[in-house]
Amino acid sequence: MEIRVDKLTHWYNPGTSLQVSALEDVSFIVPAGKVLGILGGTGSGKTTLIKHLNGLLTPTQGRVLLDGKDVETYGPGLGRKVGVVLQRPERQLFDETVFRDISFVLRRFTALDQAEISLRVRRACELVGLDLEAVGDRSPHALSDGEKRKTAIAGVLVNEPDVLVLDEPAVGLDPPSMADVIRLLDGMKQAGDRTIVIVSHDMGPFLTLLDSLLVLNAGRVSAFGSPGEVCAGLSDDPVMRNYLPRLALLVHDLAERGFPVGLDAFTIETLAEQLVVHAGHSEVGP
Amino acid sequence: MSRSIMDLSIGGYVPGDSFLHRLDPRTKLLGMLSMLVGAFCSESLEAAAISVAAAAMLAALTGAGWRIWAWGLWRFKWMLLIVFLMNLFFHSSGAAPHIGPHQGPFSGEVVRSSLALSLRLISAIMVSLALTFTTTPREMTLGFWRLASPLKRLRVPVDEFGMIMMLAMRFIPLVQEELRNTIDAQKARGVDFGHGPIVSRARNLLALLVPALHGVLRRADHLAIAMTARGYRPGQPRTEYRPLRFSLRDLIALLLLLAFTALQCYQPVFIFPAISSLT
Repeated sequence: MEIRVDKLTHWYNPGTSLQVSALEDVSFIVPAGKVLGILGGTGSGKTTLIKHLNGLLTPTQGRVLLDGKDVETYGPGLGRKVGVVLQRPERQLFDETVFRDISFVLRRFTALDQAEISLRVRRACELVGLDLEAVGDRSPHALSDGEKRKTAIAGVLVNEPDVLVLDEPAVGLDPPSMADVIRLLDGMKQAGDRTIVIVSHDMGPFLTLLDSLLVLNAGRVSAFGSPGEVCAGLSDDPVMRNYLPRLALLVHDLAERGFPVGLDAFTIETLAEQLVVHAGHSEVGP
Repeated sequence: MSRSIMDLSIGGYVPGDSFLHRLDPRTKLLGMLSMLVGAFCSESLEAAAISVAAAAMLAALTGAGWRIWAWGLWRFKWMLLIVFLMNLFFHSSGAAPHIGPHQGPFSGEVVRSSLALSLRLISAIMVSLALTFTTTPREMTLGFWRLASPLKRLRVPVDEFGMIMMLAMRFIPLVQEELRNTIDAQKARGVDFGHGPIVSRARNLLALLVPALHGVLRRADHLAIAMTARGYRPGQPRTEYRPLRFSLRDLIALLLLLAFTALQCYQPVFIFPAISSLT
């Protein structure tokens, strides 16, 4: 599903003394099946922006179009087309068992039969790497934090949304769970049937996944383009520089000092490979 | 439900620098009490209308703007409607007037008393909102604390009650925020709270209440730990960062409000004889 955000402006409490402008004139396009990263500090409008994608907020001005159709015209089914995993999603778990919690929306709001629901729950759990046999009948509150997060993400994936939005998916996860989330997103990107939006104030771990990167600062677009271009463009900006992933800064600074590294050498491995080649060695050690 | 004023909650404070903002919280607490007594000590429709007018003047003094006020009052629409209808149907007095050949359902007296009751409630709500819009929970607690401090001699634990009150007031917006976040999180996974038969809608509320309650208890737990970590001990004397000051402005405001209440309770007919003679 293609996402097109057109001159989006959002004010909280418009027309009162509490009026706050959260987004000003934000525009971008994500083609179907591509991965967008939204980078910005706290209060930059990231969460406000993604709440427009599934109709939790409506624009003060401007439009949000999915496949050319305004989100406001989608009606109640929109929440299942655009799955949004909000911050700390493990806090939304409530049902008696993991299986019931993941399948809650399917059981209550769709006409799918039991077999189809089981199949979908199984698929979602497989995607996020949750062992349904082991935890399916347990209470979600008895799980570890990493498993809770996976359960919550499965609860969104089970709707098989065309657009998947994740708000700060890495916050509070230990390194192995983090690697699981990256693997999950990479797998979905390879399958290519979903548009993915990743929101984070620390884009480092996700850089290699991204097709494009949008940088927000105080509700306005600072930069939008391919991750390489955006990072290179903002590396000289003394304020925005602090938000960029350290690896991207390193790549940029090396390139600027004359090292022949590609602007998209965003993993330690590729960067090391290129530097080793430059240093004259023929191969990289294990 | 309107989402336009999402950051202002029940008991919410509207930052500002109006006359009411600058009054001492003790003045405002006593003033509110006096206005409430005034609103409820007379049963007549005229007195109720005067109460609303006075409350409207207070509302204008808060400087919050009509949008916030309209939103604040609109939330009470169902309560007001139900109270009005209950009074209309269950408070019978006088005979219903004849309209042509038919007898009307309600007597003029009942309609007037129902209207008066609704107006009195509106003025009470407005006076209370004027207090909470212009007073931070902190000031409110300090005011309450000071007003109640003579009770300490009777061994009433005023300080502890004050702390409980402040925490409770501080928690109202937090509970609302918790609910809002949970609603958003559940909607984001496709839960649709607004549709379907009423029984299943009620069952969907579990998806809201369980996580929200969980969140509130977690916050309470964190709060208790944070208070202990900062050395809070029940029963120990506490200092104030910004002590209250009762100024001339407070004295004048309080005297005016008490005079208004006295007049209203004593005999509103004397103030507006022209209105009463019309009806």
